[in-house]
Amino acid sequence: MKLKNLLSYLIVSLLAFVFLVPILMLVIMAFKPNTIVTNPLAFGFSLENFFRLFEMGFGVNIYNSLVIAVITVFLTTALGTIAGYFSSRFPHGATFYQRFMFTLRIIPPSAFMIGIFYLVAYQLGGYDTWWGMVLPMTALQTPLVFLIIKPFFDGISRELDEAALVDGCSYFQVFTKIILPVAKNGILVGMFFSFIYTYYDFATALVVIGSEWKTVTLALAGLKTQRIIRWGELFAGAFIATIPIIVISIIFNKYIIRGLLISTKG
Amino acid sequence: MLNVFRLSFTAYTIPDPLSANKYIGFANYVFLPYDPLFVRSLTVTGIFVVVALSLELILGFFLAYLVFSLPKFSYIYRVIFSLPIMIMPLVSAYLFYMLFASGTMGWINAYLSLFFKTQIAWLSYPWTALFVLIMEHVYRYSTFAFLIFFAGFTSIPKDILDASLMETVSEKQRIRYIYLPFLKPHIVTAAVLLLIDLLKVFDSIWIITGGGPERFTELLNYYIFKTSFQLYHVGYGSAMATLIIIFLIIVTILTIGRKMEV
Repeated sequence: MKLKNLLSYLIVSLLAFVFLVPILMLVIMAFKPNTIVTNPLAFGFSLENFFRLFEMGFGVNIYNSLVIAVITVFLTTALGTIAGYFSSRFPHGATFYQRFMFTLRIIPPSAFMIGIFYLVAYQLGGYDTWWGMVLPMTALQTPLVFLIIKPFFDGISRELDEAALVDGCSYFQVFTKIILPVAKNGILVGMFFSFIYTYYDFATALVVIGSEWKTVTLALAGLKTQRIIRWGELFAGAFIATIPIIVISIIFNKYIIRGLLISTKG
Repeated sequence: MLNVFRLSFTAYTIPDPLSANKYIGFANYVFLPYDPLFVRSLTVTGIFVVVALSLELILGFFLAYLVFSLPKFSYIYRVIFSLPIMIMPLVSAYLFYMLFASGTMGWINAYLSLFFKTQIAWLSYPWTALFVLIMEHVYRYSTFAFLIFFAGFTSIPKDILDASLMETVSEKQRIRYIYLPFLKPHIVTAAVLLLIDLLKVFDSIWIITGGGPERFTELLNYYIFKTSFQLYHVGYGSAMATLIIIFLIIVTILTIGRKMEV
């Protein structure tokens, strides 16, 4: 039994190492001096990649991405919480609604992209504007937020609402003063995921955004062109874009995994 | 989405906006089976989905089983294995490009030539390029399967596990008669979610292979994008998108129906 345990520890640690290798690669390459960045056998440390990256205006891209992501998160959370609350309190027809949301969630973005391009960019004139990106992302992420948040509302007993009503709260007050604070964790998880998916989105940005509102993902993809690839800047940018989220997900691992699992139950 | 459906009956091409109102009936759909690239894209996507899906499910199950059987420290491993899905897909695509790139630039090739004096041009052959794409997806999503399965393992009632320990059931029997039946709903869920995500693969193709060599790795999602926005046959792209949407809706309805039974 002892030997078997030791063996499984060994295997798991090995696999864990394999899964960490790409993240380690990212860190190593982000700090490599530009001359040896394409040589995997050489190692070194410098910060020049980051300086050069920001000289190229990467700060603007981060700003664009953040603006789009924050507005999207705000809209999706507002819509998602209200929809989640009402479908959890008035269950008549809610299963159909929930299934509909789940179906929306699974359709591949390319199937949406044509519609998005035609409607938002061409008919509404939202090409290369911040709201041209926010609209489709809100449409794509609201179902996700809804699916994450609704189980949390289901977990709050209805007697709480009724007690508050008896005590003289209006419906609106019940929602803002009683329900929202109790469901805080769920809402935060929903916000986190809606933020990640908006921030990480590449396909939609590729269609909707031109040059004015370039996001982080577009900027990173733009560093690889037909003739030249700026690896140093690229991995420095990737480092800035990814590492904060990894750190957050390590710290709040328990909540995030729970949100992830709940969001998958459909 | 309704727009997609409507456009799929038109001859809409981007340089000519008025063509969005030129209806051509089912011509876009009729043309589909005669488009060799679409047929091949469909086949390659099928292979990609089947291989990646089975690899992810097996690896995820194996990981969850191992971590679950650890007496201590399983939390740390859980955190580690939950990291890959938090990486930006674009970044992970770049990292895998760097791993498998040809010449002395790719990490794997560099160490291969250092120790074994050989090199493999991963991205120059159709099948190895597809393999790289599969590995990239397996890297990110086998851990997703792991998380779902691990939740399944922890939901198995304790007394059943204890009873099986007492009765000197062999490990093989335990997996066959306790773990697998209990995890069945989780396996179905994981399979559906992974299938959905496999059909969405886009970033990694864009970065790693660019659809090459010889357009072999243009999976469906990428092919739709390319026909619509680089070759500008939006009407034709919409027809393909409509087909995928119908297919996925059928799949979800079937699986959700089955989940209700379980």
